[in-house]
Order: sequence, then structure tokens, then C-alpha cells
Amino acid sequence: MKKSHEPFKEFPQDQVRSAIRSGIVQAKEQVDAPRLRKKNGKRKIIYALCSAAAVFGILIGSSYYSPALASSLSQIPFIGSIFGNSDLIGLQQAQKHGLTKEIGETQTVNGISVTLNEILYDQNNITLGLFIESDKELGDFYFGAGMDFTINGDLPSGSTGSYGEHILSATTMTAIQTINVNEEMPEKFELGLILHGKNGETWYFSTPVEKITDIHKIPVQHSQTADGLTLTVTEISLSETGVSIAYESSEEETDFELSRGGNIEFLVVDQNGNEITGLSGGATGEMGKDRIMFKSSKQFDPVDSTVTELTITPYVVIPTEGGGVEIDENGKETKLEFKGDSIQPIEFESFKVNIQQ
Amino acid sequence: MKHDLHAVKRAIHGDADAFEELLFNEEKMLYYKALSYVGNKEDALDAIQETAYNAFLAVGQLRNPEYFSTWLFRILIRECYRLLKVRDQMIPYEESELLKKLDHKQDEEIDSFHLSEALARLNSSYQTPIILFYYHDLSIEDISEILEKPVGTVKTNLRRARKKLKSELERSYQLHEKVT
Repeated sequence: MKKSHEPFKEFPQDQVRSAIRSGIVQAKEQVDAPRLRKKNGKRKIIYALCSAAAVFGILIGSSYYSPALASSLSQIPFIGSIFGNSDLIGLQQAQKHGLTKEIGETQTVNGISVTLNEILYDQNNITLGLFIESDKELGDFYFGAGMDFTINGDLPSGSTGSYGEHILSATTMTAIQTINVNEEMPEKFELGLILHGKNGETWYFSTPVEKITDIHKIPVQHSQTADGLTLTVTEISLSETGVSIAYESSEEETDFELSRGGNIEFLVVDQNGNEITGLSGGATGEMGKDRIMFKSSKQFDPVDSTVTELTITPYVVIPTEGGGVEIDENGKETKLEFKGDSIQPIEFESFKVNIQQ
Repeated sequence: MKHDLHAVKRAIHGDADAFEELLFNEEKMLYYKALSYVGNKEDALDAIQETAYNAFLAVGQLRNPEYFSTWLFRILIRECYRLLKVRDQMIPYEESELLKKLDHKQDEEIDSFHLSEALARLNSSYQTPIILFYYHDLSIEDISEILEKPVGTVKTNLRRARKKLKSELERSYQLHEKVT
């Protein structure tokens, strides 16, 4: 009979700590139920924009999705680097420049193994590459709308992101989960991840994450008002992994479904007239007394050092289908009636931003 | 291990950071203890995760902070046992060590081959208490708690297990003699 264990192998401190943290996160989630708590009494709405193969759980996707993300998910050949094989330029760049964190941790529950392959934390998103393998074929939307997460063990007060799967075979798939970065996230923290399966399974991961450091920020503070909506672009960030445009909007409106702040997109072209491809993203809105404010950041593929100027044209996307969920301070969810097709377009003016990389 | 009692008290009052720190202080012990029960790294990590989960939920009920370590390891051993039970596996042990502890009289010639064969022949209600008592040095009370059986039943099973193991060892030895 073989010896029962090999005590002289190196002590796997990181994995032991990760197991301890996962257990605590899991317990805290239990203690903190109901899962969606509010820190304040303001009404908030959470929108999520999902990708093609994507999944609509509590967050229902709008009509807009990123063709780039959809096509990247359809072309991943096999696990290696999910990011490196993606055709999203930002993720490829991140992988190439060693900005991603390799994890490779597998958790198996009920014959379904979920491997957290790699993580990228840049100015826009925390992006996670997952590889999923199961004994039996998993049906559609087995993992609902993707992962929940915690920041240093606490659930965030609100979040946006997307989750998309790519089926490799009847029992294997890869998935890319993005969590849009928001103000609650420190530069460096312990990220807890919780994935729920259709049959009540739960997978937990816990890992320290740190935002990439080489981010060039350009303050903009461009403001314009059109058709009762004030739009302020506050900042543009540039890194190896992408460009992001941070903006705030404020609109005289009391119906979330008719508000337009969450539907703002930007057309971005460089000094030579080349369009910079935009990626999908969500926006979180908040209702004031008689106004609705949105604050978000839109993401684009990275630009190279030859780009010196960007011309930005804001526009409103009129959704054709989709919807939202309203979550009150008790965590009660109410599906909102879809009125997106009655949204009125807005004509914004273009503006230019010099970028010195 | 002696813990900072203030940290234990903070953990009892629900301070997750203090609780995490206490477990980190015990990380090596937790890992190697779990490994000695379940025999492989993946299961040991699973047992640790389950222990952290259950211990965090129950720490509020810990009456004596000075016994935090003992209490934690009881939970760990229970989790290890639960994991082995789910997988229908026997608790691993090292034969030479167990042989020594069994204090065998008839002897030197009975090697680990006979022991593992004889142990494998015992049914699990006899097998487990033998390994927990002689190899892992657990008290009858602890075994009773882990196996969720009354102390009297554990004692009876241990006595019967010893008797059965003795006759199995003799039988196995004789068989082996005949073959060779």
C-alpha cells in the first residue's frame, strides 16, 4: 500500500489561504442573506448588457451587444489562455504583455469542474476567463447570469457586467465574465467569486487582485446639454488593454425606462478617421428628486502610440428589446415594463481630445 | 496553538478579518492534519474550505475562547471524515505506525501486507474507530462526536474490531504461510 501522503512536498500556502477565504466568503454570504443588500435607501436600477451567447438571469440584456465580444467567444479554440485566444484586442494585448494573472484553480461540485483560468483588472473591467467541464451535458443558461462577487468579503451595493459562454463540446465550454469597475473597488483587494448552477450547486473562488498600474489618465471635463440631458465626459483613460471614457449624465425624468443616460454611447475616431471599436458595457443609474443620474464608463479597443487625437461623438442607442430590474432597499426585485422603443434620440455635438501617450 | 484571546473574542463577535487571521495562523496544521486524514491535496483543501465555512457560522457559539484551536480541529476532522464517507473511502494510515501502536504480540513476522489486508476485511464501523483511535490518537469522546455515535457504541466497536482484527491477522498470516 502506498504511503498515505507526502508531507515533504512544499506547503501550498496560497491554495490553503484561498480555501480558508472561500469558506469564509461562503459563510458570510449565508449570514448576509438576502444576497442583495442596499447601503442606502435610494432607488437604484441595475442594467446589464450581455453578449451574444449570453445569459439573462436577473439582469436582462438590452438590444445592444458587442459584435467583437460575440465573435471572440465563437472562435476560442481550446483552453490555453482564454484571453490570448480571444480576438478582443484588449485581452490579447493584456495576455501578450503579461498583465493578466494566471490562476488555474479548479473547484468541482456535483461532477462539474469550474476552472478560474486567468484574471485581468484594468481601468474598465475585471475580466475573468473560465473553463467549465462536466460529466453530463449542461443545458442552456446553466450558470444563469454568471458570477456574483465580493470585495474584501462584502457584497457590492450594485454592479454591472456581462457573462458569455462558448460551447466547445457537449461537456466543455469556456466563459468570459466581465465585471465593470466602479468606485467601490480599491486598486488592490480580495476578490471573492460565487457561481451558482441550475441544480443548486455553488462554486467559490477567492483571490487577491490588483489593478494594472500603467494607466494614462487624461482629465476632460467636457460638458454639454441637449434636449434636457446634461452630459459630462470627465476623463479618458488609456492603457495597453483599452481606452475608456468616463461620463456622467443628469436628466429631468422620473421614469427609468424612458431615461436616456444609460443608453449613451460614443463614436470615437482618431485623427486619421479610423474608428476605435467600442465594447459593450453597463451603466448604473440613480434616481434623485426629479432627475435621473447615470455614471458609467464606456470601453474601446486599445489605440497605439501613433494616435494623437480622438474625436468623440456621443449618441443615444434606442433599444428594440430588453428591460431592467428594479431592486429596492429590501432587495425585492421588480421587473420593469419595457418602454425602450419610446426613447427619444438626442443630437450631441462632437468634441476633440488630444492624447499624448 | 495558543491564540491571541482578543482575536478569538473578536471572531466570536463576527469579525471576519480576525477569524481569517486565526485560521491563517493554523494554516500548516490545518493542511497537514487534513492531508493525514484524506490523503490528497485536493480533498485536504476541500476539507479546509468546509471547515472555514462551518467554523465561521458556529464561532459565535464558542463558549471557551481558550479552546479555539481544539474546537477548530474537531470541525476539521469531522469534515475530513464526512468527505471520506461521501466518497466511500477508508481513512488513510501508515501501516508501520499503526502496527507499532496496535502493540502486537505475536508479531514481527506480521507485516504491513497482512495488516492492510486484515483492516480491509473489517467493515467500516470497525475499521474507522481503529484507525482514529490507534493511528490518529483521538479519544473515545472525539471519535464518538465525529462518527455521531454514542460513546458506548464506539467502545464496543473498538473492542470487537480489535478482536476481529486479531483473528483476521492470524488467518491472513496462516494463509500466507500455506501459500509460501
